[in-house]
Amino acid sequence: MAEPEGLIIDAARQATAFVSRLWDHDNNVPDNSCTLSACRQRLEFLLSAVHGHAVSLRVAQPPAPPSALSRLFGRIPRHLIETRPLPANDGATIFLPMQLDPGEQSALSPHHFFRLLALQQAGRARRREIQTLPIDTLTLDLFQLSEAVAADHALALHFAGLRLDLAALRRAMLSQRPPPSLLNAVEQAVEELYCGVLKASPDDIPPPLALARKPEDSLDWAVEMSMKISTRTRMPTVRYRGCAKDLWWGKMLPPSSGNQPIRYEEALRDMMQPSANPRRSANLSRRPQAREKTPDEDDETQGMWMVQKDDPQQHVEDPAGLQRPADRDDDADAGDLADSLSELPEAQLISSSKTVRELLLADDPLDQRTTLVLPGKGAAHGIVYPEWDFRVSRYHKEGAIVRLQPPLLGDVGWAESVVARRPALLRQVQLRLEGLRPRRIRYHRQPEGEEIDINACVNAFAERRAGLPPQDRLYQSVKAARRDIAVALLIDISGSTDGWVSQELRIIDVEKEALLLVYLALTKLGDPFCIYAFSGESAQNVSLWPLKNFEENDRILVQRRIAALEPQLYTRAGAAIRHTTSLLTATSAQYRLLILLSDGKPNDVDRYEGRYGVEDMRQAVAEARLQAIHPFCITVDRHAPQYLARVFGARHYAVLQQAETLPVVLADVLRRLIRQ
Amino acid sequence: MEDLLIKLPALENTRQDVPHPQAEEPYYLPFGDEVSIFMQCHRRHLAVMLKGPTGCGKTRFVEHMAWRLKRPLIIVSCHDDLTAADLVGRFLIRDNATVWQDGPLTRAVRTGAICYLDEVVEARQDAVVVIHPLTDYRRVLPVDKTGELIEATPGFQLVISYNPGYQHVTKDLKPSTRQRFVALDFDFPPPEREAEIVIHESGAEPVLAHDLVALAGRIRGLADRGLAEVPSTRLLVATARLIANGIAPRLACHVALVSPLSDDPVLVAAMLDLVDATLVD
Ligand SMILES: Nc1ncnc2c1ncn2[C@@H]1O[C@H](COP(=O)(O)OP(=O)(O)O)[C@@H](O)[C@H]1O
Ligand SMILES: [Mg+2]
Repeated sequence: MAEPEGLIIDAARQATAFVSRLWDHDNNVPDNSCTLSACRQRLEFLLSAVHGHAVSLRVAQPPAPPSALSRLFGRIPRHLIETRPLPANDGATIFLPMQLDPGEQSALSPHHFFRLLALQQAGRARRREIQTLPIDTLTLDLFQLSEAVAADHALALHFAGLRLDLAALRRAMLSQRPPPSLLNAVEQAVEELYCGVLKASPDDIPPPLALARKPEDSLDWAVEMSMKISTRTRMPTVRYRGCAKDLWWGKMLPPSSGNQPIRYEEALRDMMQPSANPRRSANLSRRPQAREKTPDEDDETQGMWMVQKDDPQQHVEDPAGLQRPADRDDDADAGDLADSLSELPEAQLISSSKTVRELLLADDPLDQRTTLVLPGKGAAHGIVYPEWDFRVSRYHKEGAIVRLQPPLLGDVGWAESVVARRPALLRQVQLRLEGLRPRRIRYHRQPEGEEIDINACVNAFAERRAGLPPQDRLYQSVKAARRDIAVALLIDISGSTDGWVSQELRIIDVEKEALLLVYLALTKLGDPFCIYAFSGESAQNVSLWPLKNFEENDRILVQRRIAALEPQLYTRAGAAIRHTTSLLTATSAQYRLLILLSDGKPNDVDRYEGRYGVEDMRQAVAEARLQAIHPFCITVDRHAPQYLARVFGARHYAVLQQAETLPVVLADVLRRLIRQ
Repeated sequence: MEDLLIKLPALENTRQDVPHPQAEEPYYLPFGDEVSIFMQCHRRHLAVMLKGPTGCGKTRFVEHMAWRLKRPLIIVSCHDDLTAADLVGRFLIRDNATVWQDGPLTRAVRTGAICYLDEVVEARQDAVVVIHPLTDYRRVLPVDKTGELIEATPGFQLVISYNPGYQHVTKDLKPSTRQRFVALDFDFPPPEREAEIVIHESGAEPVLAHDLVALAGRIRGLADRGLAEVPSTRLLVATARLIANGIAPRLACHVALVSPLSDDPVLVAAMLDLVDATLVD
């Protein structure tokens, strides 16, 4: 027989699991009218133009379902239960809900709505500098209100065009306030203040609020106001439970912390000990907020509310991160764990060099790099390449090991379906490469040549008679239209290619389609070419998948290999470039081209990141040039110009404004390079 | 101002005279010491290179300086087919005889004009090389085809402009060319001055001019986020003129400020958002 405590926990767990399933269901309702993803990039551009630096925009997480316990004991009144994700900021990143409720859309068009919320949050984020915030809820709420009003005021002042939108948002929020009967005296006082703000025009500050020039002013005002309210309502007897937050009020998240240092040696040591356990993975419906750990929480003695050890179902019941159930049980289902973790409002972030047993994939990426290290794959024999260390200006001799992986085979029908779906695109690609078949061409009107160009001479004579300036291009010559070429296509399939470029397409999908179309067009050209995909994790495991060797000619096989490409791990570009370079130098062509298709900066789990990665890549490109290879990079990373010009040199890279144009751009680049 | 420009190739250019700067002072608002430096360079026979983005007032500056120095001005817009012959001159056949026709550079050398080669990197390398002997102590222009060696008349000065923002792989000024010039760095003026220029050039209301300048400043911030071209002062002046002539501000910004800059739908949309937020019709 279970103890009473156990029973309560069980009830709570069942209830939350139910709620979260309900929620999942809700979130899956397809509504593509105007979601955040449709206008996210546009908003990011707008924010960076307004604030002068890149501001990143994320999807706001749905609130954690209130635990049945707290509802059971009536601790959270109904009007205070958050039912939807709210706009928020953590001082650097802006979070917006994925979509708007139908009721809200009537006030403003969805795009105007998102635009306004984004600018509001960015304005508030900009003001955030105070580290210590009031701890009591009343003062904190008053502080947030005052800050939000100040941010709105600045917005209305600098962007006259937004005043109407701001007013409309306030009106819409005003219509959704909870009835006063649900509120106690203190709450009513706050509600009155808030409604006063919503009724006021955005460039006005309704008293008793005052314009806070600095956050400190807001703090002073909030402290003073909260005392006033307390004395007026005899606060100790009436508890302030909070104020119903809406889209205008939003949320103030704890400030984002910087990157945690990575213990390189530890990671290396662990890499040497391969683990036998395959990883399990499952999707998180929401990612818990990472939270700083409090000093006493890693207590060895476990509280009495821990999950019972004989519980057949794995659940994270432990928001303090005392122990993960899965640490005890290797056979647990990762899916259940994901469900449980999604229900936690926050979880402590633990860096471990141990191989993780399960991967829980959230839709939005984690801010910090985790020190997650895979066991070495001893199977494939590696080829060692040096790596450039800019800090000491020399090579590490055994810098990185490239391992050739047998490519997987994908769906046979995929290639056909792409060709069927994109006939126009294939046609465009073919058209671009059509004129490039090696053949001999007669060039007219040359300044020098083997024969006289009679046409040009006649023209020139007539023009001279007419008093026009003389022409000196009077010859013709016959030459091969172009040199022999060999092309190597190197495709980045790192984890970041999992990003979405549109509603249906990930970067990797676009890459695959482009690869297929260009592959089909290149085979017609008749010049030797090879295709390699690369990714990997750590210096010991730079994986290269040969999708097509120079010699290979089996179309179906190559198509199936392309079809099987999926996002992998990291981008250790230097080693991949060096390997491809060595392949190219072995060919006999007059002109050798190395085209890198990438989606971002080089990075890996270890030091291979930031400047280190970029410098090594630059060195690898320079080495290729020295070996008479012409490297070129096509990227979908809009931040690319900053570092790509350094790595590849001006004019030797292209930044795609729209990922969908990749096949055509790839063909254009090939044409340009071949023609030169 | 149009008559100052000599269009190339100099086909029907049989006039041997050189256009003189008009009597009225071309409006130019200086940002630093460029006027006095240019005066010094002129006096010391030093060639000048103006570096900076398009539409930030380089041409206007040269026009203004020509007026101050009371020198004729010859402007050559360089393009990638511009050959040495286009600058120096060529033989023409006229009435069954060949006649030598001076190019704009030769004309400037002979008459002591200021010769402004706009966007000089665009020109072919062989064309750029002909200016070398003019920029050192010799100050001569050898004309191969006629065997002439023309010594520059005292008032002659060579000015070139060059936009470092554009990426050229084959096209870049050779170090041997660069070293022959005194370089003046141009950039968009600070907001106050830019607004003053816009007001002067377009006759727009001060409030509007300030809004436009603020808007341009924000859009320029997008340069490192993929926007290849940023709005120049010239674009602002054009927009302000449209508005001063009765076009609604937002519409004018759409057509004259945002649309010319990019074809990327997302970037354009973001810029339009910015316009909407900044201006009221
Ligand atoms: N400092 C300035 N003083 C006066 N007008 C300016 C100035 N800067 C820019 N302008 C305005 O911008 C326009 C474009 O300038 P322009 O000299 O043609 O640019 P650039 O030659 O640098 O491409 C001018 O016609 C003028 O109206
Ligand atoms: Mg100009």
